[in-house]
Amino acid sequence: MSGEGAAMMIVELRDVCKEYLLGETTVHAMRHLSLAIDEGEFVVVLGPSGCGKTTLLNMVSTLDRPTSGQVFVDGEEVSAYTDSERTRFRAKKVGLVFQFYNLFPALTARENVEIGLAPVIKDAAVMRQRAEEYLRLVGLGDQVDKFPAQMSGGEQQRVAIARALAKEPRLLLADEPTGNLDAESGEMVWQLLRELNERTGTTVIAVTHQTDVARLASRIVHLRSGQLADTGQQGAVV
Amino acid sequence: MLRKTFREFRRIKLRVFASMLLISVGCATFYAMSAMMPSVRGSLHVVYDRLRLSDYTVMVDAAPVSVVDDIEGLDPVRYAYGRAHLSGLVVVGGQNVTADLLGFNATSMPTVNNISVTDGQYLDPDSPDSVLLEQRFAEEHGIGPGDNLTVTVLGRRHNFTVRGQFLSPQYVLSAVSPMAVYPTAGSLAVIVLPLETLQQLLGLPGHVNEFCVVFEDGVDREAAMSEVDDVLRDYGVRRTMKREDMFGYSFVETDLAYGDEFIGLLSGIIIAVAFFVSFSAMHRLVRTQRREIGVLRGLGYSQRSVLAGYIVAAVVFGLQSSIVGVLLAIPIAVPLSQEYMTSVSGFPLQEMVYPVTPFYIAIAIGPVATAMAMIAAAWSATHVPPHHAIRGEMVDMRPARATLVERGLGRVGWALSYPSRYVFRQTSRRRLRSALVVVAISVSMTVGATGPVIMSSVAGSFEYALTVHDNWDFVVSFSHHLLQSEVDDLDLAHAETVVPILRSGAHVAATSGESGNRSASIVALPWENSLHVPEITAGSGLGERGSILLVPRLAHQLGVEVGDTVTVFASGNSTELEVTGITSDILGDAVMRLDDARDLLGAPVASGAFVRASAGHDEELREELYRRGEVVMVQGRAETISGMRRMLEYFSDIVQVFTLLGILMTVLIVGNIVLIGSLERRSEYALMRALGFGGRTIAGVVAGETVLLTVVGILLGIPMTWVLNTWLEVQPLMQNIFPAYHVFFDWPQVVGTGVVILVTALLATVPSVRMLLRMPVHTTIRERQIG
Repeated sequence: MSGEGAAMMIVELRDVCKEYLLGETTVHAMRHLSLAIDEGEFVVVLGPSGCGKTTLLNMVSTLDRPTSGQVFVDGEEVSAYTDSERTRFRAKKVGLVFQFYNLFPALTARENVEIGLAPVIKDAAVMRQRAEEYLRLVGLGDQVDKFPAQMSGGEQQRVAIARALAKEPRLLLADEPTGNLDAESGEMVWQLLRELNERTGTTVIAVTHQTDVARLASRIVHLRSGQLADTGQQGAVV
Repeated sequence: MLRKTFREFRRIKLRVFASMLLISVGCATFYAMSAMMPSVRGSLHVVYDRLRLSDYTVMVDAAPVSVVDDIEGLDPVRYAYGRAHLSGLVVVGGQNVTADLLGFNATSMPTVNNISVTDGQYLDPDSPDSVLLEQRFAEEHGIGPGDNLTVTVLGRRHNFTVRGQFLSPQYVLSAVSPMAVYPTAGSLAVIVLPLETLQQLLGLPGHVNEFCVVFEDGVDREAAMSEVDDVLRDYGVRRTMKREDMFGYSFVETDLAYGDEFIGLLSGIIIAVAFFVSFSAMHRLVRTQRREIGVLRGLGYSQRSVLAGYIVAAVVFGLQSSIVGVLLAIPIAVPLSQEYMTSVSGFPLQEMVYPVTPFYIAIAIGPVATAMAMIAAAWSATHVPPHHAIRGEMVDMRPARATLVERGLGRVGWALSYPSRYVFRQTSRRRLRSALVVVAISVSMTVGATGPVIMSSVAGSFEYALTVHDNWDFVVSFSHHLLQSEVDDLDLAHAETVVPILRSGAHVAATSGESGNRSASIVALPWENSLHVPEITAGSGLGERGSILLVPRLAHQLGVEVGDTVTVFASGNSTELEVTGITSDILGDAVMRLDDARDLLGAPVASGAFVRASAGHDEELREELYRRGEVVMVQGRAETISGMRRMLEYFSDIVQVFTLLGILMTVLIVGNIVLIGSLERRSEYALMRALGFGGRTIAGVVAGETVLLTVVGILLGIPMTWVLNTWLEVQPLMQNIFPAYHVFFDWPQVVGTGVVILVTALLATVPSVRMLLRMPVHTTIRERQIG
């Protein structure tokens, strides 16, 4: 499968299946899913619990391997990578944001961003400059020395977004990024992700339950039972 | 609640089984060793009773055999036996070895200090040249029945044929002549000859020179000994010895007492190890049940009832483990006791004793360890607010901050890498756990390094004593007391200096008389001599005449200090002497001036001498000494040092046990705590993987944390080792065994122990690293944690 129009395809899933055992039951988390995402898109993945949204992100981020099928990022088959290749891939090309922020409690906001840069940037001064720049970008320029325990949930998630973006990845993958936030903080985070997508051109794939987020997306992917239910431009599936 | 917890235990059955197995093995070891000590002690006493080990032994110049009837006629005496006892030399492998020659009635076994013939046959009155040889000496030198033996007695050689081997309760340890500086295995031949043969060699037909007595039960021993002394007074009492002062008897009793202390230490270590292993299993269980604990709290269960449920379940498993351990101990204890009995005495095990108090302790070890482990593991989980617990969260709001190391490096413009920074921050945040690991490692280091330090200190103290206080080349023992004129007449051509000494058995009592009297080996020598000056550890040396030095043990037994007065009894005479100092002399229990000793004994005699050779004539002097009929034992500096080395080899086994214990403690403690830390923070490690840190970095972080804490623990353990050994230096145990025990810190050994502990600690992190590298990143990263 190849991308259509002028935009260059960045992510492609070909006939991907994912099965795992839950006790004695085989769970089909993904069933023959094929999907292509172009560079610069802001894709929102919607669907009920257990439909395979997180599994989709795990496949693209290389946190998990498909049972069958292939996953391509930037034209390379990442599903065939060795462990060390997958580690390098995540270090260079993927930014991750999780529902529960996943910040290191022992590190400050700036350090939490820097640690995301450490595998790719060795110059401490560059790392520091980049971290502070992105913390300013997410509106936390005055809180760089605070520890996670001293920040609100929304602020912690913005630190996590800054960490994901600071490495200037090709892909930003967000798994329920506002699932643990109040409505106001959640809205701020979605707006921030959209702004950053527009400003930096980073491809964003975000998974959520919140259907109202669809208005921000350039494309919506709807999953059901591990299969593609529908996909289209903003407003196509609500 | 309890049913639920038991089912949860079943879910992690492998881990629970491993913990139970370790507790069972620990309890089995503890109770088997606890049974071994009284079994061996009891068996030895069965042997002592069966073969009638003497309560009191008196050596005289010579007395008719019939005197034994006079002694046996005394009311407090149950059995008495007269025998001939003479020192000699036996030629083994071309070398002269000291021999104790005992003359027994060839027609019947002795009634006191009997022997057990283990190979061959007892003496034959028709074969005056047939002898029996002590079994362990025979085995050491490969001598059996039918072999020939050349013995030098009073300067003349005699040939005998070995008729059999025997074991004696009097010689439960292969000992050497009392003149020997250090006892070494196989360096004393105990030979039993027909009494008539030895009487002929002595030139005293119809006479004996040693009486061995067994008293009736419950008699006043001191009064009984006085009665025996009175009977023998006219025959020139040369030496008396109570049972508790017999070399082998007292050595074995001391060895068993140390064993009792070791068992106490062992039980403490077993509980600690069982605690750590159980803690690991239970922590894992509780961690998986955080949500359920929250639900229980939400259902109205109190913290106490939830915690109690876990503790009861843990106690049940601990109790089962202990019971299995005690049952296992019974078949282990028998071979263990047999082996120890044989190694210590040569005799087979006579009885098994299963002591009651250690039984209860062994039963308690499991429940106590598992209950403590469960409290430690479940305390924080049961104290999480229910609304957090229901969501599976652990509350850990301890603030984090840059560590001193980071701030210090920051001031000089350095910054730690993120993995290193993470290590420092985590160890700083988890202060209690970090402190626990550091303390445990420092204790492991202390346990592991103390053994080598003791060994180096013993060797160092000995060399120090030989270098600073001893200037002799040979210490010799005469076959009988020589008059000073006879010593002068020795006229040794290759000797530069000869210092006569007098070594004699005596009784010493505090003049205040409160502690009774004690048998003691008195060493007398000219104080102003150039070859041997006893080391003083308290007070001063011998002053003018009328002074005495005591070893710490004797001073303690008598309850006297420097400045007090003691009375010394020997050969029916007594003298009062002032204690001017405490010594650590290796040749006796008390040191006095030669003139004072001669006055006490009533004759200007010497029992041996320190001899220094003319420059370059050591070997000539040795040969010259051996040619003298009056000399029965010659021990050179080299033999003394080799004797010490052999003795150190004996102790090195014990030392290795302690080093291994240190290493075992390190493995279990570090392995468990690192595993728990890794489990608790595995979502953070998963995040690192997700951020692009490789497996090596993860391994480096785990190893870095271990190295940091282990190095701190080792560095703390070094001064702890120093403090412990400095404390040991002044303990009577160390002061009594060796010449003035001084701490010699063997840095290479101590550093080597530290390196071994560090490597062991790193190896102990391998399971944690493997677990972290194998964890599914995509699910682990989504495990929740507040912090």
